[in-house]
Amino acid sequence: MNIDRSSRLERDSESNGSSVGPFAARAMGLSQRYRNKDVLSGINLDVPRGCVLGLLGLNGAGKTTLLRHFLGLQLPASGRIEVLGGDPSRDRERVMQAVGYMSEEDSLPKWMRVRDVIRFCSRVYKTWEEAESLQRASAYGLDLDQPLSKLSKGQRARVALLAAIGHRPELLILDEPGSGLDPIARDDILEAIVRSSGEEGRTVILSSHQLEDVNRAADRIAILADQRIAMDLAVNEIPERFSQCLLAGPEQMEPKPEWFVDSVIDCRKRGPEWSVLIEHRSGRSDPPTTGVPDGWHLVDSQAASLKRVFEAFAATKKETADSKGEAT
Amino acid sequence: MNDVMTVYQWVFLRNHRIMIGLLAWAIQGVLIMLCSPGELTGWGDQIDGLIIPITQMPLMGYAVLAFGIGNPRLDSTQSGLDFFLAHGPLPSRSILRGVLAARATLIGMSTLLMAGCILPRSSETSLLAFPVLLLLALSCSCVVDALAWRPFMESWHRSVEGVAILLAGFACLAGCLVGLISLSGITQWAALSWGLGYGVAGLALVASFAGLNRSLLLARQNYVGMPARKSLWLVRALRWLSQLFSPADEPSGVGLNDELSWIDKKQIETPYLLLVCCLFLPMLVIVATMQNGIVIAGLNAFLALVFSMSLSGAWGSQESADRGPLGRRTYDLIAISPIQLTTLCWVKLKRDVVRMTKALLLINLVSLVFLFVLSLAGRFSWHTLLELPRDTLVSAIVGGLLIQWWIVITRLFASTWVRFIERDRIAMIVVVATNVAIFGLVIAFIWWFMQQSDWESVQRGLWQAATWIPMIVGGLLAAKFLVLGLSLCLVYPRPAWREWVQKVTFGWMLCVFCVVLLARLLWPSGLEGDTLSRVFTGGWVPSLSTATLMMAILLTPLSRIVILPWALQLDIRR
Repeated sequence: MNIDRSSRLERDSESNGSSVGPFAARAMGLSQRYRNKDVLSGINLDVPRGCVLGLLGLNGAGKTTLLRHFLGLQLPASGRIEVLGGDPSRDRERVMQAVGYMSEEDSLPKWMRVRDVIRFCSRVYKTWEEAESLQRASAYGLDLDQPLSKLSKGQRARVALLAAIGHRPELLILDEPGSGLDPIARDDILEAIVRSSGEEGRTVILSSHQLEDVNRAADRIAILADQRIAMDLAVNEIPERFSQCLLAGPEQMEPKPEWFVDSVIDCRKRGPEWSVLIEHRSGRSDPPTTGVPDGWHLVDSQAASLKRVFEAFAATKKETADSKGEAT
Repeated sequence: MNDVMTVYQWVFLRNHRIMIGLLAWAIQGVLIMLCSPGELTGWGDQIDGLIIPITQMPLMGYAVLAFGIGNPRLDSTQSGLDFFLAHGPLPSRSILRGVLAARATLIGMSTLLMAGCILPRSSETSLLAFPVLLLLALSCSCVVDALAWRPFMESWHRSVEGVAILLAGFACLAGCLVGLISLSGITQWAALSWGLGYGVAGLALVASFAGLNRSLLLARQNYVGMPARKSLWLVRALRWLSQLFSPADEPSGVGLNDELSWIDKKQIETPYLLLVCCLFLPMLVIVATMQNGIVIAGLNAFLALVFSMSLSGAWGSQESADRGPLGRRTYDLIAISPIQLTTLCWVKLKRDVVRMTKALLLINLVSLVFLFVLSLAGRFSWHTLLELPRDTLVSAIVGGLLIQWWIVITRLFASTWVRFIERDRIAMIVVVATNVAIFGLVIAFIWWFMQQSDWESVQRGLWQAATWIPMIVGGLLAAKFLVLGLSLCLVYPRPAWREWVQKVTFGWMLCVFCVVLLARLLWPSGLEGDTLSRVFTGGWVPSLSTATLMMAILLTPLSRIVILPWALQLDIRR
C-alpha cells in the first residue's frame, strides 16, 4: 500500500507540476491580524503527505483563517505558507490544480445545476475524471438537471464534495464539511475522506467540531487556541500520552499538581468531583497519583478521550480562568 | 423603551454615517445660498437653479429611496426587510410607526433645508408648497419601502412592479399638474387648486401606507418569497419576455472562456433590457395620446430619466450581482480554482463591453422610435435633419454613435477596478473624492461666474483661461504617466501578469490610434483650423490629430485597466 501511495503521489505531482516533499502543507511562523486584533500568532504547522489532519478549535479560534491561508485566499501578515512545495498566493495556478476545497457554507452558486458544476470543473482541472464524477453523482442520488437551489443541504454538500475531489487532488481541505448535515450525509463525506486517504494517498486537512468524526478519520490532531497551535499530535498517541482522573474531595478545594506523578494539564469541576487531565512524559504511571491527602479519593482513572484533551487545550486562557473562578 | 422608539433609533443607527454626510452637504448649500451675492449680478436664477439641486437633492433622494430598514436585491424574491425585524417579536404596527416617523424626520429636515434655500430668494414661492412636497416625498418613501419589503413570487417581479408604479405615479402627477395649471389661471380657483394638491398628496400617503402595511404582513409570513400560484396572463407574458432576455442554459462554446463568460452572465441576471422596454412602451402610448405641452415637457424629462436609468441599470446590474457568503464577488468555486486572474479579467471586460454595447444600441433604438412617434404626432420634423449635407449627416450620426460608445466604455473601464476590489470603504472614498473634485470645480466656477459684472468680462476670462489649456493638458498627461508607473510597480513584478500588461498597453495604443483616425475621417473639413484656433488662443495651436491624440490619451484609461488582476486578487483575498 505504501509503495502504491508514493508512486501515485509522484505520478500526480508530475502531472500537476508540483514538487515532492515530505509535507503537503506547511505554515511557518504564520501571523494574521484583523483590525489590530491577532487572529493567528506565529503558527507553525507541518502536514505530512498522505496524512489526515484534524484541525480543532473553538469558534473564532482561527481555523477557517488558517485554511484560507492554505488556499491562497489571504496573505500572511508575517510568516510563510507552503502548499505542495509552492506559495498558494503567488503560484496559484499550479498549486490549486492539486488542491480540493469544501467549505462550511453553501458556497456553490445556487442557480447552477449539478451538471453545470461538473462541466465547469472538467474545464478547469486538467486531472478531472468526468466519468467517475458522474458515477459518484449517481451514487449520491443527485439529479444532474436540478439547480442547487432545489436540492437539500445534504445534497448540496455532496455536490460540493464532488467538486472538491473529482480532480483527485493531492491535498483536500475540508472546512467543517458536516456542519448542519444529517448523519447519512456526514457519513458519505467521512467515507470519501477515509477512502481517498487510504486508497489514493491523499492528504486531508479536516476542520470540524464533530470530535467523533475527527477521531474516526484523522491520523493527526492539531488544536488551535489563543491564536496558536496548542497541540499537534498523532491520534493514536493520545491515549498513551494523556489520562483523565476523577477525584472526589471536600467542597471549596482544588486538587494540587504535586499529588500527581506526571504533569497536570487541566483541572475542572464536574458536579461534585474534579476531572484532571494528566500528561505522561515518559510512559503511563499506575497509579497516577503519589498519594492524595485525607478527605480525597481517586474515583476513576483512564486513558483520556479526544473530547477531554480538546476541552483542556482548546479553552483559551480567559475561559480557563473563568471556569476556575466559577468553580471556586 | 417603547417599541416605536426602538425601531426609530434602529433606523437612524443603521444609516447615520451617510445621513450625516448628506445633511452636512445640504446645510452647506443653505449657507452658500444665504451668503452668495446672486441678486447683485442678475445671474441669480441660473445659479440657484444649479446650487439647489446639487446640494439638496442628494439628501431628499437618500431620505426617500434609501433611508430605511430594507436592503432588497432587485433580482430576488426574498423580502428586503431587515431579517431581525421581520422575525423578531416587535409588533408590525410599531415597526410601521417607527419607520414612518424616522422617514418623516429626515424628509422634514430635507424639506426645511430646501425651504431655507428657496424662500430667501424667491418671494413668489408659497409656503403652502412645502407641506405638499413633504407629503408626496413621504408617500414615495412608503412606496419604495413597500416594494423593498414585499416578497415576490418571481425574481423579476420587483423590478417590473417598480417600473409600473413609477409610470402610474408619473401619469397621476402629470394629470394633477395639468389640473393645477388650468385652475391656477383663475384667481378664485387658487384655493381649490391648493386643496386639490393637498388632497392628492394625502390620498397618495394613505394608499402608499396601506401598501406598506400589506408588504410588511406578507414579509413576516413569506420572508423568502411568495408561494407559486397560477398567474395572470400579463404576468405569464412578462415571464416569457424575461426568459427571452435571460442568458442561455448552456455556455455557447466548449472553452474555459465560454464557461466563465456564461457564469458572469448568469451571475448578473437583472433583466435591465426588459426594464427599459417596460418603461418605453407605455411611454409611447402616452406621447401618442396626450396633447398637453406640459405633459410633453415632462415626458422629455422622463426620457432623460429612462436614458440615465438604463445606463445606470447596466452599471447597477453589476452591483446587484450574486455574491458569495463572504461578500466576495468572485464565487468560491472560481476563487479557489487554478484559473489565471488575467483570464478572469479578460472575460469580465469582454462581457462588460457586450453588455454596455447592447444597452447603448437599445437606447438609440428607443430614441429613434421616440422621434418617429413624435413626428407622427406632428411635434418633430425630420426635414431639419434631412436638409443637412449628406456627408455631414453621416459623419454626425456615425461620429455621435462612436463617441457615445467610446465615452461609456472608457468610463465603465475606468470604474471597473473599484468594482473588482469590492470594498465598500474604497468605493466610498473614490466616489466622494470624485464628487468633491467635480463639485469643487463647479462651485469654484460658479463663484467666479457670480463675481463677473457683464458678459464681456466673462468672455475675456474664458479666453484667458483657454491659454492655460496646454499647461493643464501637459500636467494631466504627466500625472497620468506617473500613476501608470505606480500601477506597473504593483503588477509588473508578477511574471504571470506581464503578458496582461503588454496586451492591455497594446490594446490601449490601438484604441487611441483608432480615435485619432476616426476623428480625422469624420471631422467636417474646413472646421478644423477655425475651431482649434478659437480654443487654443495662447499662441500654440495644435493640429486636429494632436488635439485628438491628447484627449484620447487623457480619457482612455490605462493604469486602471493594468491593475485589474491586482484588484481582482484583492477581492479573492478577502
